[in-house]
Amino acid sequence: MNAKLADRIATAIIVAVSGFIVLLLAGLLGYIMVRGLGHFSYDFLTSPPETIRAGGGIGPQLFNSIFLLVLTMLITIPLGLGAGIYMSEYARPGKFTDFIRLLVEVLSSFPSIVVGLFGLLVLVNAFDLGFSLLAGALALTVFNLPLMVRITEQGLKSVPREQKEAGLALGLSKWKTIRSIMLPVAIPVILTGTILAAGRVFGEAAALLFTAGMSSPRLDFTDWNPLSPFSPLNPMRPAETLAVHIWKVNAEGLAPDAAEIAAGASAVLVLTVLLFNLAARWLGRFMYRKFTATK
Amino acid sequence: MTALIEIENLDLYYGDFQALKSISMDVPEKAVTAFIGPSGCGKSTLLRSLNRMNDLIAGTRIEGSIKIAGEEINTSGMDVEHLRKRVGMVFQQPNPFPKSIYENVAYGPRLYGINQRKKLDELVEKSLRSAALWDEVKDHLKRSALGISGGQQQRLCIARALAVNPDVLLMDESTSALDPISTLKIEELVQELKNEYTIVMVTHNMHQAARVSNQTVFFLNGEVVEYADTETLFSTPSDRRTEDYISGRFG
Ligand SMILES: Nc1ncnc2c1ncn2[C@@H]1O[C@H](COP(=O)(O)OP(=O)(O)OP(=O)(O)O)[C@@H](O)[C@H]1O
Ligand SMILES: [Mg+2]
Repeated sequence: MNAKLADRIATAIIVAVSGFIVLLLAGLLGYIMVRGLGHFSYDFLTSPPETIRAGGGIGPQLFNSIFLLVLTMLITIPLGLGAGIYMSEYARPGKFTDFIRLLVEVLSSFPSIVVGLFGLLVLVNAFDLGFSLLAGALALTVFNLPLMVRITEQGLKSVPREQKEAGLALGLSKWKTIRSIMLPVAIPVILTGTILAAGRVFGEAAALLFTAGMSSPRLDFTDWNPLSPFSPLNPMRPAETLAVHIWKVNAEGLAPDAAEIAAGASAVLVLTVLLFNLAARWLGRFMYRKFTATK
Repeated sequence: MTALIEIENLDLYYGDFQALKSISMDVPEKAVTAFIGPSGCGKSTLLRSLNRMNDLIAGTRIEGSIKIAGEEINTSGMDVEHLRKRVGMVFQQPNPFPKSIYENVAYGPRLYGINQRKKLDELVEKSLRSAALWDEVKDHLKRSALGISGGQQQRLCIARALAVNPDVLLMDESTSALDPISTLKIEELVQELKNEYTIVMVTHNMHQAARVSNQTVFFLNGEVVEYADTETLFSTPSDRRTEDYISGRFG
């Protein structure tokens, strides 16, 4: 067989495989959208769910998902950045550092249901947080943090060594070099990774069943005092997220339109994650241009 | 000529490997000193010892003395950041910061406390002029430094180093990644700069050393083989190995 023919066959196979995957994804996405979009309305997105009657919405769940995401990110971003910077720039290479890195890897590949049960035992019971947004956020931190550490490390490693040396050779301290030369270069990578990680948090259900809980109190969207029990902002209240809601409606929904609600909620979930991804790209590029003054 | 840098019995080890062996030499002030020698003989290592960039490499050990303007730099108490401000460096690959042209030059001065817009503007212009780049970039100082040519980037890096007003400028094969015209520009620039700065350059290009430098040091396997006036070293080398090397018989 000559090289040209081999090349053609290989190309054809690769194109076929990629095409198949794209079709599969497009089909899946299309299916979810077609089934769900019909159910979209302002009312659906904002009103609370109904238990037995038709016409319930997903307002509180959508809010819970977003709020939980914000809480999780508030915890993970500073911790992950700090640990990532340490691992990439300060930790001496050696057995101990490799060991920490291994632990981080293992942590990030924990099955989420295990993390959920861990959260139930430790956060909800031992630390007495109860079913709460805070417990949920901390459980999500367990697998989001390793991701964040790795993203930060990768981001910093992607900075050309020459630029780091340029900073140091100019008389900048190590921290100053990291902060003002390396981080700006790394930020697009870190930001993109962070938003993708956020997408994962948004879709998580299993880890939240036993930590953030499967119910929401009747939220009072006029009460924004984080300490009052019916305030949407109270981090100590239980909160059912969108992903958990989909699971619950599918498993034990009594409302006559349970299937439509699940489909609608799924579409919302997928769309949101899609938006996250688009935002990640756009923001990453925007930041890169801003920090590097390139067009 | 007075010596600005005095190196005495300098040994440097990367782990078990001794990269510099008992180096002693004086680098004269406001002149160009060239380091030549085959790959791996320790030129960069010695150059990077002068601004303590070898500190970044884990496992290096250094013995002996380096004095710059009479001050010993190989002490734990040495303010390395201040040292690096006095001893600027230009690398082999142009490495501008991914910022605008202006910001690249203004970065150092700002770090050292110059914040007035007018002062910065002046300094940026002066440094860019000194680096023979001003005329080419003065109309788009806000553009990314990554968008200009390699030769321009390298001159920008020189301007960036000059902006903090160093005494010494180290150049490690700073023209080897550039085209002949850019190389020539930088060589001319070095001729200008030696009136104000002490320049130490590493080069693989024998002609460049002969054209540009006042003193030349020939290294072999971590040792100084010969150190002389450039003219003397290239016309009547006193060591057989130097002669072999400059006539292209090895290396
Ligand atoms: N980080 C390092 N760890 C261990 N050995 C090193 C390190 N850097 C350099 N060396 C060794 O030290 C010796 C001198 O290296 P150096 O980079 O100073 O050579 P050089 O003369 O600049 O060579 P070139 O002309 O190729 O740039 C070489 O044998 C090199 O292998
Ligand atoms: Mg070298």
